[in-house]
Amino acid sequence: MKTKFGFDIHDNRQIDLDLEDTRFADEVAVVVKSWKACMKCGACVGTCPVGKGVLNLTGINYQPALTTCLMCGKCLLVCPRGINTRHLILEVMNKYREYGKAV
Amino acid sequence: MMPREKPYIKSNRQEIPAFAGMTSDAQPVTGNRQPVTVRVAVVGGGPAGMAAVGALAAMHIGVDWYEKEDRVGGKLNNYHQLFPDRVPASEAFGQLVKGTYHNHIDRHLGKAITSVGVNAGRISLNGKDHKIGEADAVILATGFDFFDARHKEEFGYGIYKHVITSADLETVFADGDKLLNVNGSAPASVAFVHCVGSRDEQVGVSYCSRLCCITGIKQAIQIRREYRETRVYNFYIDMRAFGRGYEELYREAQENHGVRFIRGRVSEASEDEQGRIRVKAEDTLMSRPIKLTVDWLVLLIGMSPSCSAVLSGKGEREKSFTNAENPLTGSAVKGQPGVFLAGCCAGPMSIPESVASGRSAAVQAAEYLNKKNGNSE
Amino acid sequence: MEKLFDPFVLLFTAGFSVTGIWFIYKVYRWLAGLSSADRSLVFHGVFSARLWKALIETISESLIHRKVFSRNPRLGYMHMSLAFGWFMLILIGNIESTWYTGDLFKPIYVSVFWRFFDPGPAFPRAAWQPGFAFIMDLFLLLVLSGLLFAIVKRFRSRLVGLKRTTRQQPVDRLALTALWLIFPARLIAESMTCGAHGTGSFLTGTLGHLFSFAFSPSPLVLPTWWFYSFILSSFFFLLPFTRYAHIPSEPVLIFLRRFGVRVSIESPSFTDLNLHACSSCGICLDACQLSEVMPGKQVQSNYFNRALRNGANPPHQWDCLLCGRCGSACPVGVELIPIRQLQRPDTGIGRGLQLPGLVGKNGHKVTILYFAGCMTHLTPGIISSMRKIFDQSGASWHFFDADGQNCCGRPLKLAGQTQAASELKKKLEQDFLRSGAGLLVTSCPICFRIFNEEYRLPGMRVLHHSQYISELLEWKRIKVGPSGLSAAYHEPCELGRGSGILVEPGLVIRSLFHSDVTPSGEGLCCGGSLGGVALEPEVRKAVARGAAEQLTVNHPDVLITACPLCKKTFKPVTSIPVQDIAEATAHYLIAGSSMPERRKSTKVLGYEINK
Repeated sequence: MKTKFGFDIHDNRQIDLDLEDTRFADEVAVVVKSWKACMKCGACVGTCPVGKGVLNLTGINYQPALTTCLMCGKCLLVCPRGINTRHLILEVMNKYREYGKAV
Repeated sequence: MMPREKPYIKSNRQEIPAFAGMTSDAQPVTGNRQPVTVRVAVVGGGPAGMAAVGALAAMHIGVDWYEKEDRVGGKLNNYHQLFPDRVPASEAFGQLVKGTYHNHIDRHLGKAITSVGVNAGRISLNGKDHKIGEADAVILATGFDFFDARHKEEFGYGIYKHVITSADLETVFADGDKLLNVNGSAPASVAFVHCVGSRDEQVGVSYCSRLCCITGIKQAIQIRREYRETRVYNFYIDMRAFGRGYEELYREAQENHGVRFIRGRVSEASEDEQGRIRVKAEDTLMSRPIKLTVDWLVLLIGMSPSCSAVLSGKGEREKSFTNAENPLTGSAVKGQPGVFLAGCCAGPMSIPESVASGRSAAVQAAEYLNKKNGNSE
Repeated sequence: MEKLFDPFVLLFTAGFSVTGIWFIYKVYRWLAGLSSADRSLVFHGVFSARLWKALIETISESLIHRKVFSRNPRLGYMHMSLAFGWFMLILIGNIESTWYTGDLFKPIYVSVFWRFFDPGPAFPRAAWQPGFAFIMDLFLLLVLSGLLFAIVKRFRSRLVGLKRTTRQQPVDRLALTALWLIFPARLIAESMTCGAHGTGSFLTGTLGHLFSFAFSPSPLVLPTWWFYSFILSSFFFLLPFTRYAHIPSEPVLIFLRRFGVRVSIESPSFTDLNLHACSSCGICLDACQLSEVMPGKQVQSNYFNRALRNGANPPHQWDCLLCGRCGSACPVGVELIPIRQLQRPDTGIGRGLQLPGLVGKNGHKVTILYFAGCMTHLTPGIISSMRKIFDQSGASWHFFDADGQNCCGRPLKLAGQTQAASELKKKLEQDFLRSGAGLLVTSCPICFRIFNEEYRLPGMRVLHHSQYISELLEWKRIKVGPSGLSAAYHEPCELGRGSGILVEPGLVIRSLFHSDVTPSGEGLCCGGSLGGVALEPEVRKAVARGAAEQLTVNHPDVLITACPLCKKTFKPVTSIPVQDIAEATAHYLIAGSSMPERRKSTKVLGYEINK
């Protein structure tokens, strides 16, 4: 077993809003207008049958967890802001497929 | 609220004299019997209504006071302690009701007003199928209705025995009942769900009911004071502790009572074999899904409007509170001269706010009548 | 009659050749593009009784338009008179010309322009005498009356019982004009000839007679035939590129469908045939509930098909709720919903799934598996009612998805993610079979449909809970008391129209309520369908509101549905209480009606443990 003392430098988790690139999110928002209303309450993740938290709306981008979505639409029914989450997931995947990578 | 079988042990509730309301002559009637020329009707006997009638009588204005129940006090009658100071509701009631024993006030109990009609400066007050009275001005203080938690079926209210609302819990406290788990002992855990029937497009409610957060804090503390071993969780979207002493109470709940506040909306509840409640949510600050089994799930239900119906005369509930003509500066209703709003029928309010709003409406009604009579002379 | 030729026939012949060559090419492509399995279906079909059934269907649908008639008699008459009338004109014209020339293999134009070559019997003596001229005039009259309906339909569609009519693209409008002109042009050309020769029957003869009073028809004979030939030629030139391509395509579709070919990813040419067979008649417009709530948006199937046929991106691809109302209304039987589903691209959602095995883990064998479905976990009233019903019936059952971590795969499929759906299907099939249960009961019509249609579960019956309850009632395993209330039934799309489960919900509801509920398979969509992906919640709500209004028009005490999603969708939009059929049953269940002595037997309700 390796013992470590002192500080360990991890990946920098700081979000640098100065360098934020919102192009992908903005393009998705053109199609699914409602996603900007997200208040990050987590109801969608709570209800998700996959139990992994498919949706992470903190920043709309491609996330590997999206490939585990069942498209069951439960998140759509519990979202207090009435966001069309199902369309959102599909659109993120469509855009991702279109570009071959996340922007 | 639906009538529910009480799963907790039997009541030791005593009838508190003050709660008997206007039907008893517990208080001496004050004020001189001066001839009054104008009469104002106040619809609703809750805190805002009580404050309004007291203020009108003090200004020597004759009052017809209508209340649909057979006693006044409104929802205050069912509350146990009031936040943030945990003053007994009966004490607040006593303070408010004192001002309503006055010669200028005629009480009409058991009279439900379903619509008002403005006609040439006189306002008629109508019941379901007949006219009940007339007045020169009307103050609507019809309050609010509790959100019917059955509309959020995923929480299982009315389906699972151990899912109750904050209003139910308040009666448990007020009646001195106990919250026991399925085995008849003290509950191991209780979870509060914030924003049930508030901020929820799924049930067509876009507004914040404002007072559920502090109710959840207060009730969580009450549970922790009664059952020292019980773990208490509050699942919130945003904590809105805006009033006097609210933030302090929030801190007290965390610091002194160990209440766990988890930022994440509960999305569904299910019942396990023992009848305990399984809750699914997300800890949004950790970005991880949560599951939790609790002995009781308490839904902090929001406030639904109840007086739009009176104004529109449609007799059916509408999904929004009534807006005053100039909501920033007054409570007169647009297009209905002489009709004023007081208390929660204009939006969710705490008790001090309702009382202030009731007094304010009384002053506005008096101003309106002065102006009208001055013009006509 | 010595020379059966005039240069004007060349125009027609050219146009007709275009259509003919196009059609031969297309039929070749349609057959060549079939998968080998489908091709063998066709091969075997040709030598079977299905050929005759297809022939009968072609006559009754392509010519008589029986289905349109049964839906809307005025519209049926319009289609019938045009199609059947024109067909008879061609047929009898052919017989007449063959009769007089004795040549079966003459050029086509001879029979088309026969009246030009042979003006027929003398007028007025022979005008009402039965004969070729008389019959030809009769059918021309039939066609012209249909044309009148068609013109009325275009400008006042409500008069022929349609709220909406298809918005045409320019080339269709051109072809439509040509089509409309064909028959008046024929009438005038024939009447001119008859007027010049003093011949003709009651229609052409009379008109010709009138012409001859006003002017000398002889110099106008040839120009009118030139005009008629020009109009015919234009129509046939345009036909392959317009909706009128359905005229030759529809019979081909009927034959292939009768042989058992269906729309699939393996046979893309069959989809193309379906698209060509769509006549853009617009019957789907009124069937579609989105017509009401998204006015002016071309969501409906006729527009979808047209765009696909033109090689364009179909409009509003993700808005469609896939409720199937257009498909069941379509008189041609175009497979509208499967075509739409195939157009939804697979983006890879769901491929990363690793689902835990759930039943195999604890390995206990049960008689009945209960699969609530994802959505049902948001309507716990249904689950607790099913618990009550199962326990009352004395069945040994297992709640398969008690933790709500399973999905049937159909939502993925509806969203175009076919590969992930089929992987999920395989996984779940194994889990189901490992349980050893003989019966799978589900509360969700979405799950039911895919279990029923696509899952291979040998030895296991699949029932929706409405069917299960109906069987329990029939076998007196449970008893219900009458509620004394009235009810309306909302048929979930996936259950009624989609899976044809109509009788059982009706039986259950009639035993509970005093309303005479008979599901028809033509129910409305609640608007909550998972088929609709892009629809914003407000539009869904508008669909729901419209459906709820229609369903509760008689003010029932309760609105019954049999789907958790429908229940959730309706609840916020109606003041009438909404209940699932299971909840209603559980509510009026009479306690102690089960037979406990049989509880120990492995044979419960006739479903034995599957070994």
